This record gives sequence, structure tokens and C-alpha cells, in this order.
Amino acid sequence: MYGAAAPRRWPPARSNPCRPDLAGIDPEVTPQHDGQHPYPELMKRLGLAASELGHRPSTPAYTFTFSGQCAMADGAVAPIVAAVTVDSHHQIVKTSLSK
Amino acid sequence: MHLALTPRRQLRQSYGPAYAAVSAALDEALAARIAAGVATLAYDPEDGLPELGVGPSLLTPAALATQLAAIERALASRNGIIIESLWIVGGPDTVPFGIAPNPMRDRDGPILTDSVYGMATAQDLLVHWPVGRTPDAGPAEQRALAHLLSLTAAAHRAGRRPHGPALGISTARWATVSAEVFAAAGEPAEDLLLAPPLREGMIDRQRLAGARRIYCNLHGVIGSAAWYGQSPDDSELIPALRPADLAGVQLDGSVVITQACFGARLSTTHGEQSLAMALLAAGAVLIGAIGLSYGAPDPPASESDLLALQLLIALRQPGRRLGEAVTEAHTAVLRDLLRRQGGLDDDDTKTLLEFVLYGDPALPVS
Repeated sequence: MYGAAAPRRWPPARSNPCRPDLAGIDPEVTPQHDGQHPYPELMKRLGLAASELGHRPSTPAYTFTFSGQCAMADGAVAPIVAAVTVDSHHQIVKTSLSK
Repeated sequence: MHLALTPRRQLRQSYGPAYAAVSAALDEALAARIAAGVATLAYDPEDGLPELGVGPSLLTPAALATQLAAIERALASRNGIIIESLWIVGGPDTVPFGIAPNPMRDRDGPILTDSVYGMATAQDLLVHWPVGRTPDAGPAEQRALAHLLSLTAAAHRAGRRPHGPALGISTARWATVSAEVFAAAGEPAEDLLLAPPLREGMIDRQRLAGARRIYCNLHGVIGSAAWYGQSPDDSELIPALRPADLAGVQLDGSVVITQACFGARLSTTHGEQSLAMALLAAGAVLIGAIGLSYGAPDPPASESDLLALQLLIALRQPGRRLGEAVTEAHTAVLRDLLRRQGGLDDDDTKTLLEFVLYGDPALPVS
């Protein structure tokens, strides 16, 4: 669905509403929800039946990972990573930030 | 059976003359464990367990994991004995962290984890037995390991401590999600401190010492031992807690849950002890990540926020051992994610693999 180049142009300015430090940084793009089911042995040990699994969308989502860093006044450096997951409707479904 | 991985040969080689103190403290800790009713099988991997027909192993993650699998089979074949926990004695210079592929494209390198010694993999994230480590910061910090082992012995002798309050410290920026986690864990809102206004040097040491569970949702950085707060407007990071703030504080019986990036880092920074080592030296045990850690800036809670929540819940349940509580928290997170999402995202996988326990997993929880 996404060509190799397309994800890098999107999301542009909408990247990182929480981290303006990452504006202008090209993200790494990885597919999520690749259709793989959880490991059966793990399911068994968790006591989960297949019917209890939540719905996974049939089309993959993509995670755009923006990595940067912020230099601080005391000389320390804070790595900043924002992982923005987007579904096939271009909707942001999840945003994770490094701590 | 609770295993104790005690690499005495390597420790003797690393510590030289200082090994005598380490050995004495280790003997004391093992004796205290047994006296506390913890059925313990201590072994040096380089010797193996000839009584079980298990040969010696190099001190590499793959070889140690293979040896553990052999120990598991050997014990099972003898009256169905199961491994209930694994306690690793020594820092990563002695017993290296296991390595797992990092699914995140975050330039953090591979995941360093002790989960591999609990037989966890990237596909099967739930350990078969909990793993905890009593570390050191390297042979240069020669008194640390003996001291931590003595604290472990004292903790076993003390037994279960009375239930006590929790204390939370969060960046002001993450106040809402931290408050959500704290409330869901049944902890009072007034026990959650925000940074700012909290800054380094300001923590109420008495309040810190009285907390049984210390929840830290702060930033970790490169080039400083401090954990940092952040203003609500997303502006610069401000040191909120650093090792000097723990001077004179006794944290015996406390469990620290830190979501900070590098929260479980052991090495010194510019000559300053890591906060993880400072907290351990004060008597606490610690659960944290060695690399980059993830969570939500705002509700709903995610990744390490969810793990912290389940840890806070599990650590309140009476009658458990520390390792059991940690495994229970991981189990709860996995069940929740699979029911809601049907699978795990890369940041979920990294979170569940990268958090390590510094402390004897057989210790009783308050």
C-alpha cells in the first residue's frame, strides 16, 4: 500500500506534536500488524484462547520512528525517539515517546 | 527449586584480593536464603552440576541458556522438580546480559536483558522462571557487590515487612498519565510528586525512606547519572533525582520501579555512581530498563506505563516473592495487550524484554 518512498514524505509537519525537537528528521518506517499470530506456546502459558485475541486489522499499520537528541544546559544529552503508528486510513493510532 | 548462579571462579579472577569479602558475603546470603526456607541450588556454571549430569559452561549468554535448559530437564527428571527462580550474582562483566534483537528502529542497538536466562525469546516473551540479578558496577567498584550481598542476607533474615505506602515521582509533563497509573494501582494521588517543582536536592528523604514501592516516571539521559523532570510545556529537562539525594537514606524492603531510559544502567557517569547502584546500595531492589524505554506522553498509558501499573499492583499482593510479582506483572501486561490488540507492537515487545530485576527474586514482597 505504501511505496518505499511514500512513507518518508508522510506524516510531515504532523510529526511529533509532542516533540518539536524532531521536526525535519526523516523517520524509519516499519510495518506493524504483519498478520503473524502470537506464538501458540505463549498463548497456552498465558491461558488465553484464540477466541480471546483482540482484532488485528487486515491491512498493516506502519510505525514512523523519529530519532534525535536534545543537548541540555548541563552537558547531558537526552535521546528523543517518537514512534508514531499510522493505519491504512492515515490515522495516528498510537504515539510512543522515549523516556 | 530456586537456582543461584554463583560464578565464583570468575569473581575470584575479577576481584583478586577483594574476592574474600565477596565470597563471605555470598555465603552469608545463601545461608540466609536457606534459613528463610528458600530451597536453593547454587552452582558455578564453569563447574556445571555433575550431580545432575550437567556439564560446565562458558560464561556466555548462549552457553548459559543452554546449560539452564539442561538443568531444567535434569531437575524435572528427578521427582518433577521445577525451577522457581534464577538469581544471578555478579554484574555484566562477570555474567553478561543476554542479547535480543531490537525490533524498534531507534538506534539503541540490541536489547540487553536477563530474560534470556528465563528462557524468554522475542516470540515467547514470558519467562519460564523469574530472573533477578545482584550486580556490581565492575571490578573497579570492589566494595559494591559484597555490600549488596550483605543487604540481601539481611533482607532474607528480616522476612516479610509490613505493608507500606508507595511514592511516585513523575515529570510534570507526564503528570496525567502517571496519575492514571497511580490511581489504577490504588495509590493515593497525594503520594505522586511532580518534577518540577521537585528538583535535585529537594526530595523528602524521610518520605522516600518510608515508601515500600517507589515509582519513577522520569527521563534518563546520556552523560548524567540523574533522572530528569520536565515542565508541562514540554520544555527543557531538569534534574529531579540524583545519587547524592540518597545520602543517608535507608531503603531496605523498598522496590523501585523506574521507567527512565537507562534506568538500570550500572556504570558510573563522570565519576558519579548510577542511580540504580545508589538505590541498590541503599537497600532497595530495582526494576528498570538498560536501554531506551517507551511510554505515552498522555493517556492512555502504554508500554512501560502499563508494565509499571501491573508491577505496582502485583507488589501489593501479600505472600509473594519478588520474582513471582514481576512475572505476574509481565503476564498481566501480555494478556491485556493480546486481548486488546490481538498482537504486540515493536515497542511492547521491547518493553517486555528489556526490563530487568536487580535483586534476589526469591526475596519476599511486603
